[in-house]
Amino acid sequence: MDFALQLIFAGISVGAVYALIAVGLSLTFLATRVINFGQGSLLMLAAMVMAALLASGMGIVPAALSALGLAAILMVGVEAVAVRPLAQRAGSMGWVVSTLGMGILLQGFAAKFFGSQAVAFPSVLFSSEDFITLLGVRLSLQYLAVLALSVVLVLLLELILRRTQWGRAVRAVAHDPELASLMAVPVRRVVLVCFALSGVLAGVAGLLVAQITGTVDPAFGFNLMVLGFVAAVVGGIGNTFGALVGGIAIGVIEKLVGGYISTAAEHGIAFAVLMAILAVRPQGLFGRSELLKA
Amino acid sequence: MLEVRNLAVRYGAIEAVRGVSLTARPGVITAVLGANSAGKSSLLKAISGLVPVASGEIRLDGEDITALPPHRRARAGLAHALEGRRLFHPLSVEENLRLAWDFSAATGSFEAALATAFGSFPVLKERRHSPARTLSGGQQQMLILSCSLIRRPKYLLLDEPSLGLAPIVVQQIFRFIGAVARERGTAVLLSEQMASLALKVADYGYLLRRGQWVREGPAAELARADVQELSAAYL
Repeated sequence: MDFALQLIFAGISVGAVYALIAVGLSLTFLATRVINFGQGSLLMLAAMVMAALLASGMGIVPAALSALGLAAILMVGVEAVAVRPLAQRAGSMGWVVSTLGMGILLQGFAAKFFGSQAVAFPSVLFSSEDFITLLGVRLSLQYLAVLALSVVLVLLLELILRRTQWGRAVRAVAHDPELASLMAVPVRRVVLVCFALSGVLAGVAGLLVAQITGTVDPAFGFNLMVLGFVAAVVGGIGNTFGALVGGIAIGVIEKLVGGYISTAAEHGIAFAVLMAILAVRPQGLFGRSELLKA
Repeated sequence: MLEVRNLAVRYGAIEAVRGVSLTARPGVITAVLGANSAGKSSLLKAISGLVPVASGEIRLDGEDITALPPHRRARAGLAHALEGRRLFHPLSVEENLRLAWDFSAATGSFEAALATAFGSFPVLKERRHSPARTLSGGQQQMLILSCSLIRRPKYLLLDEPSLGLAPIVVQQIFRFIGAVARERGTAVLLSEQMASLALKVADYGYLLRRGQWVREGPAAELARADVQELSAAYL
């Protein structure tokens, strides 16, 4: 029983990070109807840059801020290069290739600058040995901190989308950008802010996962991005609460399968869940199908 | 004053609007009449900035706005109510109005502006927390008008406000538009397929056929005009 609880707890923590990745993907999807498959590389770059900056002796806070700032700037670059030019052709699916291509390019740059070997990511939030015991279960403080940070960020974003002027503008642009522009909403600026914010969210997710795994390498982001994508689709893309439930469900299922069946099946199971959801409920568990209507 | 000079709009090889000039004055309702696909919507969209202008110019109070993006034109006092019940359907009635208010250059409090909007259409107040998609067609058109007018624009472009509505609702909406022009001094540019209906409320009218004016004049004169000429423009 303890073993199961351990797995579930680890699954919830990792799943909360998937949710963070999922809301980053959802945010840019809302703004542009494009799934940004380049997000995984930004996640990785933030973690690699932070590891390099820490190794060069920079303090934790400036290193983290620099890494997140870089992720935000690069994400705006991805929008300019891989999204905007293709979005001008209505109905074009070219963004699938262009965003993926941008991701692979950034991954190549990372391998060139940092080498393709895994580098150590130092313990920043507690040590990997710190834990508290709750109901007889050892809870790692690192996992707890990762869980808390992810959930707080996801909920904060939901609050911004629901309650603020800027959040309403994002939802308006998501529904009908033409109409939004007639309501004096600066649509371009809203899109750019969404990409920058998505870069920060991806960066935070990258730092949190690197904290748990202890190492980063240039290939580190892609799997995570795919799992975040699965979480977004399971929960209903564009739905923050759905992303949280979807992410945690994927995380827990993954850990349980890894613990009881085989670690080799750990990642595969996410796709089985994805296929099942797409067959039964294509708009996702909490998806509003009207959101997807043009 | 809204002035359009020699405006042309092209979609690829198709010329939707060809050399059109018009003037819309404060407190006056100007009707743009014509059949389906005569170029009415394209003309309005070019004025609000949703479709690019191939040639010609658009001036708002003497200032050239031809190159401005739509949101800057909106801030300059131009409102455009699109055809086809375009609203932010997942957002509530109040959120739609709030959004229309938030980014505008309007001054004063949102609450006061909201009270004015609800005063014109009390049914919207009853439905203020409902998503826009759950409103009836007439209520949606009232919300569209309220969103366009809540920030007190100087110019209002209205595309087919009567489309698909019950006659009694159409009457209510046209009465409201007339009152807005008279009481607020808004310059209204009204695009309509239903010529007889539009000419009852409008002061001046233009007749559009295949992207060009075929006739213009005071509404009363156009309403008396040769029936054959009007129907020719519709064929």
